[in-house]
Amino acid sequence: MSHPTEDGKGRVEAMAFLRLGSRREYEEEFVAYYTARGDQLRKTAYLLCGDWHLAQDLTQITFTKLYQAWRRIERHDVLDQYARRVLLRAFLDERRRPWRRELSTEPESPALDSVSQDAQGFPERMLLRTALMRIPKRRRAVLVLRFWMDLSTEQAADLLGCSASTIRSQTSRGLDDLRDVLGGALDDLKRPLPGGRP
Amino acid sequence: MNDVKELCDLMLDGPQPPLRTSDEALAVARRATRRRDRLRIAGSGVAVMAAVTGAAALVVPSAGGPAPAESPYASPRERRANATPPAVPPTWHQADGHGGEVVRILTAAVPAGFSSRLEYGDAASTLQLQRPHGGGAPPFATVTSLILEADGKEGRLESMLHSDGTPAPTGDLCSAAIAARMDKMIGPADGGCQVVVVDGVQIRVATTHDPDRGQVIAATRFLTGGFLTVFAQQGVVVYERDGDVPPDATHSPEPDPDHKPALDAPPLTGQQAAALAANPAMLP
Repeated sequence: MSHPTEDGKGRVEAMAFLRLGSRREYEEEFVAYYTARGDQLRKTAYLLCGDWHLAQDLTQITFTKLYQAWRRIERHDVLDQYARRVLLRAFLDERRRPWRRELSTEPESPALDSVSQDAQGFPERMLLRTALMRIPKRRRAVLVLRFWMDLSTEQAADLLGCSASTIRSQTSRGLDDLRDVLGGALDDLKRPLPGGRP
Repeated sequence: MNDVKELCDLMLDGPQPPLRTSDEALAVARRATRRRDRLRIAGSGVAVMAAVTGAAALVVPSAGGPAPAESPYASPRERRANATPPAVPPTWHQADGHGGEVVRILTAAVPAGFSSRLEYGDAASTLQLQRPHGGGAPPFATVTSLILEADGKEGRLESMLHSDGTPAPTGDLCSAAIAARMDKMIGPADGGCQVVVVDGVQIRVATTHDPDRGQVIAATRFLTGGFLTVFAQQGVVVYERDGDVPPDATHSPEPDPDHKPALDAPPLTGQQAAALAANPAMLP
């Protein structure tokens, strides 16, 4: 099996010819898509929820749903949009009913703990995380979709199942929330943080 | 606003845990799919069993709508069982594996006039909750949920076994300290809180309201290391249709067309919900 391209696009397009194949074939497609998109989706999940444990679980829930739908997928060119939608719904539902989530991280697995503790160790990063988590979840989702994922108002509206005008008002309020929460700390946060990329 | 993108980049600009490998992700997806398929079959079996025994399902509603069951108490065998809290909380494997028995007990408690079905096709859904700082056993919650329907209206009967290692509380179960712990999980007791005793077991019965679920009665039995709550909900949360559809399907922002209005009242009384929570057979 060939490796996915850097952005996975070429591989994803090629998958369209394989969708009626055997289980092994569609599982290869699934693995290729996970390799291409898993990390990015998990980062999106982390920005939404602020917790690496939960981000891993939301990512797994998303890919499990993709796996279950894979044989019915007709157009792989909109797979990214579908994956984002599933992730957002998993996040919004999870927060609405915190216990309503299928287990996907094994309870005995401590793999995420040490790193998540380290990541929270720097006050600036903690401040930023706390600030984002204080924004109501749908507004936070709008900010992440619009400014981190660079989606248009219309694309965000489609993902969240609301009107473009709702996205615009939620964006405005979300930005106000962020300014209110961060206040003067905003400039401090723009300095490079220890432990980050060079 | 580029500032927001910069802030997001900063938030991600630190050590990150390794991403689960593709083989691991595939293995989890396979397991979840097998489990879903297996439990769908099992869920169908539960409905058939309930219909055969006449316990709950497929009963024609009465003209005036169903009344809460007179007695959702457990069978005599169950009532004779040890009603004291267990010394050791169950593991999540034990809790998850006990879902079938919980379904049987909840189904037997469904009042006449209601039909019932498993909400998620799973006898139990278990999830790991966020591990508290400082380590300790990972907390989890196991949920079993039935949708109850009568006269074109729907409510929910649900149990949640929550294991977090917290010692069983002493004193008034409706105290502010306990409310602070429980409100985060089951909602504020804005409709009142009382303690009832069933077979020698103290049960905290709290009533809450929210726009999604209507009136909710939550009967909680505290355990060593957690608690068991039985919810009797007037309504069911309105979700959009599940995202498990092909990506080229037309997205519809409308609520699920299968959703039904809430019942006129929760399907069980507080006393009835308390009886279920006190039933030792509800525990693994």
